[in-house]
Amino acid sequence: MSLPNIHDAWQKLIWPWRPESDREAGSGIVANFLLHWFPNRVSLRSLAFSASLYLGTITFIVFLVLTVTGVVLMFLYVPSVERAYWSIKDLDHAVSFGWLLRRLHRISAHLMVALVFLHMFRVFLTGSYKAGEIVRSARPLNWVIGVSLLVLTLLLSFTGYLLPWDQLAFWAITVGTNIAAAVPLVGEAIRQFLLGGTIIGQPTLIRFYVLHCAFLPLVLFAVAAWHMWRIRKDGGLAIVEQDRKEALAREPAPPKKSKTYSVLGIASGTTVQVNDPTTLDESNSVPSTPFLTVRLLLIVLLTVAVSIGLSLVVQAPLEAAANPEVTPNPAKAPWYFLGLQEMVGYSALMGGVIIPTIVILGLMLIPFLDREQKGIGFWFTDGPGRKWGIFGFLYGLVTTVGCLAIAILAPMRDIFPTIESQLFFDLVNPATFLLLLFAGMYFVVLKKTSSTRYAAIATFCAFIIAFVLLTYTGTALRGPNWDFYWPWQAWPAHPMAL
Amino acid sequence: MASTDTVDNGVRVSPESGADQTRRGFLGRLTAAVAAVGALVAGWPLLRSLVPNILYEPPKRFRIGAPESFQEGATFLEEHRIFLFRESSSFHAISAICTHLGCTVKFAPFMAPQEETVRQFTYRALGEFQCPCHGSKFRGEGTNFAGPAPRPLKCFHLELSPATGELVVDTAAEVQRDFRLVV
Amino acid sequence: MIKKISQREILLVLIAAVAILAVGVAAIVSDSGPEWKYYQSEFRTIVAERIGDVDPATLPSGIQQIWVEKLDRVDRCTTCHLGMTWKGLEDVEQPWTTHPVPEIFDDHRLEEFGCTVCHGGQGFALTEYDAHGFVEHWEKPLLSDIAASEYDPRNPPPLYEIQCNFCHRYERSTRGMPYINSAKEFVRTKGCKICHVINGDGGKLGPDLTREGDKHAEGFDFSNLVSDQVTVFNWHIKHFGSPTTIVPGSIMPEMNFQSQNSQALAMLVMSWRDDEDLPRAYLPGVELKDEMTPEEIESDRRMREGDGAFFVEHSCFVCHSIKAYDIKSPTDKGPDLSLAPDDVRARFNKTVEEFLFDPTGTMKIVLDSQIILTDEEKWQAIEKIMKAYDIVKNRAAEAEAAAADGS
Repeated sequence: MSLPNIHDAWQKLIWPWRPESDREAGSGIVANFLLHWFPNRVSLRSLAFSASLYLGTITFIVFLVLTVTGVVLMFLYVPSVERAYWSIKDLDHAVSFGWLLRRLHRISAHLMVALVFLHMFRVFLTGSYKAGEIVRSARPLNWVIGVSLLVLTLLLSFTGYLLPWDQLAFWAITVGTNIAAAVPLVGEAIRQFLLGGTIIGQPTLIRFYVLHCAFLPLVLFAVAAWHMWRIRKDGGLAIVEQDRKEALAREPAPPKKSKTYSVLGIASGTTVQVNDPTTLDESNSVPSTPFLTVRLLLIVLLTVAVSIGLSLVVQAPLEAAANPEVTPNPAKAPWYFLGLQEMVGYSALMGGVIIPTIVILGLMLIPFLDREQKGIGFWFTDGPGRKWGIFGFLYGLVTTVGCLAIAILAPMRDIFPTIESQLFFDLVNPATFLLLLFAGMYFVVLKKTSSTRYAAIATFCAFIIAFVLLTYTGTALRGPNWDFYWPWQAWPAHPMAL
Repeated sequence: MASTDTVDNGVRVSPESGADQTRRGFLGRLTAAVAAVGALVAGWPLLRSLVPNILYEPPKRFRIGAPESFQEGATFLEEHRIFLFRESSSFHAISAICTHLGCTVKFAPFMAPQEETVRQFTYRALGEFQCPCHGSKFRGEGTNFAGPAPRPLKCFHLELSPATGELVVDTAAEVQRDFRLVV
Repeated sequence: MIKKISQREILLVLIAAVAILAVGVAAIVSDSGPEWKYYQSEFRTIVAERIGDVDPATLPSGIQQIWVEKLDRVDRCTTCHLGMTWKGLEDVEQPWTTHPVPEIFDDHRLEEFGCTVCHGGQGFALTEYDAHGFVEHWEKPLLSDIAASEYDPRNPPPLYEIQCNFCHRYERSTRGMPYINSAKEFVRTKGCKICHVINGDGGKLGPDLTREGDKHAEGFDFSNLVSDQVTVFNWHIKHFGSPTTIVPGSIMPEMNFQSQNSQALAMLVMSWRDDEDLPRAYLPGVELKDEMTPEEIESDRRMREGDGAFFVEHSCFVCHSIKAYDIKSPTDKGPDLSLAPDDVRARFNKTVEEFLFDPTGTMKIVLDSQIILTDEEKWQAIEKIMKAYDIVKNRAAEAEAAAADGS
């Protein structure tokens, strides 16, 4: 092969990534397998960091890191109760870079859970779950898909948590599956289905392993693909509504395009793009290649660099081998469930079943309860929105600290020593108080502002604070016997054999 | 590479597409290079971790017992897949693994030992080896003479353990078929 | 003309790419140059100085491991502790030194025991800190002098004896375990089994101690233990010293144990762990025999130690009983040898002596190939047979006389 031939072949390979004209940029997107995912052009508003903080992108990149490290780990880890712990010890000590794989996989898992929450917060606070009025997009549906992705992420993290088969894993899953058992009527059946038996043993381990390595990643990948496809179908990030408003302001009523895209003659109606007045032109957009591609390259490199960097300094703990006869004191669920575990300390029914159900359902219903369509894509919608957000944070702070204080200083069973009914304590406890206080606040703000959006902002911000505070309490303020300890108070010394 | 199922949309690679000589172009190429090297360096641990440093396998060098405990002639050590031969105080070890596809060969003793010369090597043959899988046959010193086996049976190094005086076989150290350990 | 990406953006990507390169290199560097490489290269130097001409290529290099499948453990200690089985390195410092009391390897072969089953520690690990096991969450650290001197700086107890007794539990007394031996003596003489069940028998006033060593730290009440060391070992030492101090209201009597004796007893008690999964080959003192009645045991003993022992040793009794000596054959294929002089004459027309030196029939085959007797042994046999014959004849005569008297 002569040099000009090699040069030609190289050009043929890379031209879509370095287009020399707008035409080439457009063709590159269509002609390349990896690039065809992207739109031809991307609005400058969407490309800006402030629109999305790229949280969704970063989450997906972290998921890919988890997949790659996970596949390599599957060659090195053995999912048998006799050998699981041993294989993790070997990973830490005898496998080249085993320590790195483990730490990277673990830190990425925790990062992914944190990032999906942050991404959800961003989408809510920018009102990007709203359908918009100019074209009827399916963003409410995509929000619901997103909440299910949150649940899938938590399940993936939970199933992975068991695999090291150490005391931390064993007892965290004991606590977690017992919370599931608190569901009325079917709770025990759910628990036994998860465990593959009545106790945590080999069936549980293999069940969690298959869920964690095969079933849940595939489901998550499919739903995530649907989630991202919906973004494309809806014309991009929600901030594009502002581009549409601008376009409409220029030309009040754009002529309806005649093309209707139907799939094999089966689908009917028009796609979102047909009714879209926005023309992404030189003034408000750039070609996806190279602008979006290079931006994504930046995000990928930074995310991976930060993940590996964190893995160099943050160790992955491994406690003593799982021992069903000895419960560590305290026995804690993974961090993202510790807020739940704190509330479960007041009432398993309220804290473990009712409140989580209300939260998940409530989240899913947000786009259907709040149908206002203004300020889509703007953080907190507008000035009053920001005000109500701050109000929500403060209200959440005060009420959560108050309910925690009640829980710590005035436990219900001490206040009402003569009452024996479990139902009474399931209903009268700090978790219920918090729930009622938040629900009450929603209706008060709604009444005062006549705006479902402002009420939703206030409630959601209160929810964020409550989640953070409850999680912090469960992590740092609860010690042996679930007693309260200030962060500076030392826990009693852990007894050892020798 | 003309393909009949793609449509020519008329796009050609621009004639000006060559190296961009500006600083941006240089930065771009430098970045691409650093990113590529960085990806390889960061990806190396993924591959290296799959090359094991430790193996959970039986050791290749092992003790088989005191020389006195072996009878004259051939002794088959089943778990090690080795034949140990003793001729009064001379010992040698021949692998029982057929060189064709790895089955364990059987030893077919002669009615009486006989002198044999195989490939200019003369020795006292006690029998021959036969493989049940595909019918390969080997002379008493290991040379293949029938069936699909391509090579003679391996002979392993023998020594005495300085600590206990037992015979030590090293299946990682092959020796010539005339090797004898004289005790 | 197409809009181009800003230089700033490209610069940011370059920084990110450099960051990836940097963390990648940092990761690779972290993993290379492991601790054990230094110890192995030092070992080469030491061997060259002290032992002289040893081919460096035969010295261990790379991770060394002993995988003791039967005990379900893997020990990588010999990666650094290189001189363990070498002679001549006794005065070298750790980790290259020869194992003290090297005779221990005669019946505790390294391939069959590994290291941690006796010494504790974390066999998986390849760095000193992790391997010695004084790390969080590793519950079986090295039973070293350093650990022991926490309990008695002047006279540190040999904690590894705890592990010795895990296997040697069923022996009355074992060479090399002075502390445990003395503790076992206490158990016999101080009446522990009056109140505690140990190994199947004992009283029920106190808890069953058969598996006391397995009891987890969480199961002990340390509230009355005033000490820097909140450990189970220390709990036992103090409890043996004064039971009512550690467990108020306890009815266990004060035995006035001195500290060394308390340590020995604490070691003994901590060695009492569940050994059900231990392969029987690792349990000395455990008899693998069919259960026999006392009569069977007695008759067995008489056969092996009495006058007829010769016939048992040389396998004659397989076919022949000799009732004069109470030798019972399991098969009785041949005639009773007490009557051999009569029998041999009747059948072969020979004396016993003639027959033994020139046998015919089955006996010829047996004496040619299966039971080879030297001439001296044959004479012994003949002498004993003749004596047996006398005994039988005497008994018969006595019996006749008694019968005659009786009637």
